[in-house]
Amino acid sequence: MAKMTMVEALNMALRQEMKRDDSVILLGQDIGPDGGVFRVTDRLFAEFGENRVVDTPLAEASIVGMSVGMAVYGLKPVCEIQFSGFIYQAFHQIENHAARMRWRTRGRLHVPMVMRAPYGAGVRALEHHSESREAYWAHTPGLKVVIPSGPRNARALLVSAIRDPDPVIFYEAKALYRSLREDVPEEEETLPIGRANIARAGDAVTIIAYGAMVRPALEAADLLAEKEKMAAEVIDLLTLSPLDEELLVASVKKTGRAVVVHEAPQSFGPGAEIVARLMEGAFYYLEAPIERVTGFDTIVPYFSREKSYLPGAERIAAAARRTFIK
Amino acid sequence: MVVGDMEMHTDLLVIGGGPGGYGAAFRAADLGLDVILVDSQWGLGGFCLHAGCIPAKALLHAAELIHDAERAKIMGIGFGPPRIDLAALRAWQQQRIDTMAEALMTLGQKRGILVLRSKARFTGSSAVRLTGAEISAVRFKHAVIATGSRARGLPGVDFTSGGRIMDAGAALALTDIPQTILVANTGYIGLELASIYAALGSEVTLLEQADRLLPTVDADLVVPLQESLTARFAEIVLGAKIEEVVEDAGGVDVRFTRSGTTEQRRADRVLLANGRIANSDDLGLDHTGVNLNSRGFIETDETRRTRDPKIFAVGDVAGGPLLAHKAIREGRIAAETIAGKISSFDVRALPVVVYTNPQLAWCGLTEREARQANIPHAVKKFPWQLSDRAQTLDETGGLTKLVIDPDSGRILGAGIVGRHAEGLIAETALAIEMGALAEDLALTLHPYPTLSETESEAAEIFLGNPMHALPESQ
Amino acid sequence: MTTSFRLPDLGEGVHEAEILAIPATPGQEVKEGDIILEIETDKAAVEIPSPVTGKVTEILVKVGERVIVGSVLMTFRTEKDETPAERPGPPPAPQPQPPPAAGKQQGPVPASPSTRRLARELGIDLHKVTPSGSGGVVTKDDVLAHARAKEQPAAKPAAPEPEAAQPAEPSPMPAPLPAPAVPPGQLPDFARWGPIERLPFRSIRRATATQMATSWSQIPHVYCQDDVDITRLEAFRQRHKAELAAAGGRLTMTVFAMKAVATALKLYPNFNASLDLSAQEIIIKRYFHMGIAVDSDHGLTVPVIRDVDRKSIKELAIEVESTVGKVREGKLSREEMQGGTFTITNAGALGGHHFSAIINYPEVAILGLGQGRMQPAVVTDERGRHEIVPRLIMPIVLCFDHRVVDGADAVRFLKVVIKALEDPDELLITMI
Repeated sequence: MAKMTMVEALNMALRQEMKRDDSVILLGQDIGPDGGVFRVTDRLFAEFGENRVVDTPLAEASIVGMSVGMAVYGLKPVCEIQFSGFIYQAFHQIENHAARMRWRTRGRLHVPMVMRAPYGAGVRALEHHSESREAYWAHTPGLKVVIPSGPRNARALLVSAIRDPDPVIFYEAKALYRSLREDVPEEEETLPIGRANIARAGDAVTIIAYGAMVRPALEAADLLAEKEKMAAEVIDLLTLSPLDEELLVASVKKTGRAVVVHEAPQSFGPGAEIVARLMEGAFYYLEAPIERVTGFDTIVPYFSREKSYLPGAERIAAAARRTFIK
Repeated sequence: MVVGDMEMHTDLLVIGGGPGGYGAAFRAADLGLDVILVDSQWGLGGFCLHAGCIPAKALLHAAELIHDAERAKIMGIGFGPPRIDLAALRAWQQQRIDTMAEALMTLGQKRGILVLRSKARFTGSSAVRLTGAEISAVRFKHAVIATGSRARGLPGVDFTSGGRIMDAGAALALTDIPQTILVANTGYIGLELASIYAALGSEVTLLEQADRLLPTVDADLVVPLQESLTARFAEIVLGAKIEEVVEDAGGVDVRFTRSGTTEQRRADRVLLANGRIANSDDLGLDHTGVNLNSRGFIETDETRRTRDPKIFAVGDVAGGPLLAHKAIREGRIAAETIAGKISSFDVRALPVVVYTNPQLAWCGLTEREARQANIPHAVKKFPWQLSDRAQTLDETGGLTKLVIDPDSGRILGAGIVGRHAEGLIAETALAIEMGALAEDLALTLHPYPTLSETESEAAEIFLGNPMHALPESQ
Repeated sequence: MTTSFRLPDLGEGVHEAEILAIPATPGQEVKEGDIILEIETDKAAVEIPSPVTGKVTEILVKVGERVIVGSVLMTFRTEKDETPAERPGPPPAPQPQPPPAAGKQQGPVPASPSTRRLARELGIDLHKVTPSGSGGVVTKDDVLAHARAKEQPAAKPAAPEPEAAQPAEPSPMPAPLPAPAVPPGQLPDFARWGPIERLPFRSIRRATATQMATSWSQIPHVYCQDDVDITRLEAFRQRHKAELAAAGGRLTMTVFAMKAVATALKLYPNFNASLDLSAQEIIIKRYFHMGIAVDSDHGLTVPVIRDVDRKSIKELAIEVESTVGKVREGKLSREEMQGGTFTITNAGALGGHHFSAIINYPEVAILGLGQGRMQPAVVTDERGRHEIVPRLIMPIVLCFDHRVVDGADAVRFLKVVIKALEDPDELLITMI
């Protein structure tokens, strides 16, 4: 096993899937000779050529639109939107076509495409480069939303997303791209879409997070273990839609307390849905109101205030402590 | 183009890829830590492999071959004057270096160490900023500084690259073989380099400020070397204090004083040195708790931890003898400490080797140190003219000496001058580390005829029953 | 050459020791390994062998004195540099200590690198290890043997003969407990009737014996027994047990009893007292530090929990748990065993039912708790009807010093405790 960053692990997933299946095709801005702005498609152009690694114009609607067409006709497009903040141009293509094709044609056509996009804050970037709007896609029937939290699961989930028969929105946290290295096996590895993972087992309180927030959630668990001698359970969602309700409910039934963490703004965010599901499934087991630790209802501020916007370990640990006081 | 500020997290950040740096990185990775190593110049290997020790030793081997071929005359074998293809010699030297560098990179990669070609500056006690890499910052739990040392310039002297005035690095690049070369103030590195140039055919003038060569080494060990060098160098000037070095289009004039009178020599090239200074000045250490001593070296404890508990320093930058094997050991100790093991720099016999012809090597307590510190000691010497093996090699100028505790008979130090001293010294280093007695060394059966017997014979002299010498009582 | 002998580091965080006996006398010739001192620490009694062969020149300590690690206990004149003209008669005046010979004493201990690494990892100073190798080389086995000896500081047991009774010598401070008044009687030779084994009577065992004998012989004990219906309290405890466990505490009957007793002590301060016979005064303590009898591998230990009245049940549950942990690990400091004003002993956890207790002198009372057991109990409802129902009943015993308090006070005191323990609400309301 070699140690890889998430960028290298995603690159490996793409290369291996392209080798395995000729119908896998990449589209996106600067993904060809340049290898993508984050180098996720590094050297793939040289290996697979311009017919399979397609440098597109700066036109998100057409990138997604072409992908939908290709997918309907039997290819497996993996398109890259350079930053998730540029996606709104393509909203119509995703919502009205990618997500609805199976329903509209009563199952005769389906759209086996993946739309990859870097999301999230933490790298001191510009406006449109730091947002987390995964709730749009999780709110849209017909889409799957996958958000990995590290090199190894990113690779395994991207492979699963490419092989999935329906459109998958694959959000990659920029802050995780090169922030850590993990052993990633060269051999094929997949993870089922729709399953969350217990990143750390515990019985005192359940902390639910995904993407770049898993690390601060784990750090918060460390703090709680250290200061309060409390074993927090950390759940890494990995897939936002469909949500692994079963695992969440089982965990909260065990702990009686929950903290939901995301960097997306709070109002109508993923946390609201998760809390609602817990109320339905585990209400009689709750010892305290569920806490949310999220970004604020504002555009992500520029980098001097970026850190205050993002949930950190201290904020998460404080919320966990509140579930013991109320 | 990469957008944004890519920060990477790691257990251990090592700054500098020389012996200290890779020593720390390899050990830490083997102990299960996630390691990133940053080196702005060479990746792995450092100055030692790429521009210091290793290129010098390769050339010294070549010099020894030339010397041996010439000496074969006395055995009735003649080879004629050497024909030197400088480009081929440089290429061979480079090939050796590349092979070793590649092997190091493979060893690093297989251990999962991420090597970044970049310059690192501390922004605090747990992060550095990088320049020239796709990663813009590294956040670490611990860091090891292994940035080494560099030649200190001489005030008023221009070492501009390609000029006639060279430092050790430039001399090793072997641009040409000058007709005449003057080597000054350079300690044993200068002696090694002067030997290389002399073997390649340059006329060497050596200036030494002290009244003998290698003034910090026991005098009896230096005598055979000084005799050998006197025969091969054009001139050795002792007690020379350099006043001025002036370069012109045709050569370099060196003006110096010797016992009150001013003298001058002219040479095609001049090799000068003025000691080495720590590479501690451009690391942003003011953002950390790391403390420097008055000479700019980083202060550490016996685990090589600096005043900043998360930061360690090893090798040249942490001071002490500037030796690769010391740096490697320190790197390993720092890594072990960081991995939670109990470790410490606990070396009693730090060996030093000078690769001149003849070689000089010593370890443990020197006679000079014993005298200065007033430590009770006995010195026992076995001159190589009594060694049968030295006779067959015609290397009878050598000497093996032991410094011994007169009460217990414990071996405290050793010094050797002569061929293969580099290998011979290791046995005494082991003896000292093991707390062996002269008796232990004497009773260990040494193969006959070998130079290693000179060590057991010296021990036998202490015990009063030598074989190839007479007991001191007679 | 004159050598001074200092109290060595005895390990396990022991910083001081009491001199039990000094078999050596000034002027005596001793051989290395001869027993020169017997000392006792909070952990054990140890015989100290002479580090040198030579003559004892001076003994700087007295029996009963407490000494700290590093203080000089004796000086020796070693034979090596004995002056030829030996002076008979009284021991010479202590000589000023000459500096150690240069390079000899401080030099590195000969040992192989692997042995040195082992010593480093075990935290052992090689200078303190007895070498067995040739010419004084310390081997790995030497280091391991030293490490094992450090773990079990108890030296070989002292000679089993009964010692001559020593007159209890009043010393300024800290006041030692009076020695047992009963002189050691002559025992028959038990070995005549079968095999026997003699064990050292030392350390905690002996300290316990002294303390109990003092209390029993000095205090006229009276016992006041009752039953407590803890059915409701037990339900309450079960409800909150897990929560406290999560916070690192253990909610036990002892913790509730501590709170209940604190309340009773505030109402009846004479139970929180000591009798000063020499001053003919009763000393009332305005603080409420409670001793808890803890059984451990090392014997009975009574750690003291301070200011019980000012701590919540949760805080107490956590503190008691961590203190008990310390006792079991043998990490309790001397200070943590001092200053108690009242003691609680809970035999219930081990299954004990009715029992009596000895007051922890110089306190004036002790409360004992037995095991709660389901028993048929007669309860009366609001209309005066009686019914026999199973209830959880815990026996309780208050032992008190009848010189300081009377039986009526004891009954009142006990009623306060019982009421609080029978009704958690009452406990909450009355808790002071």
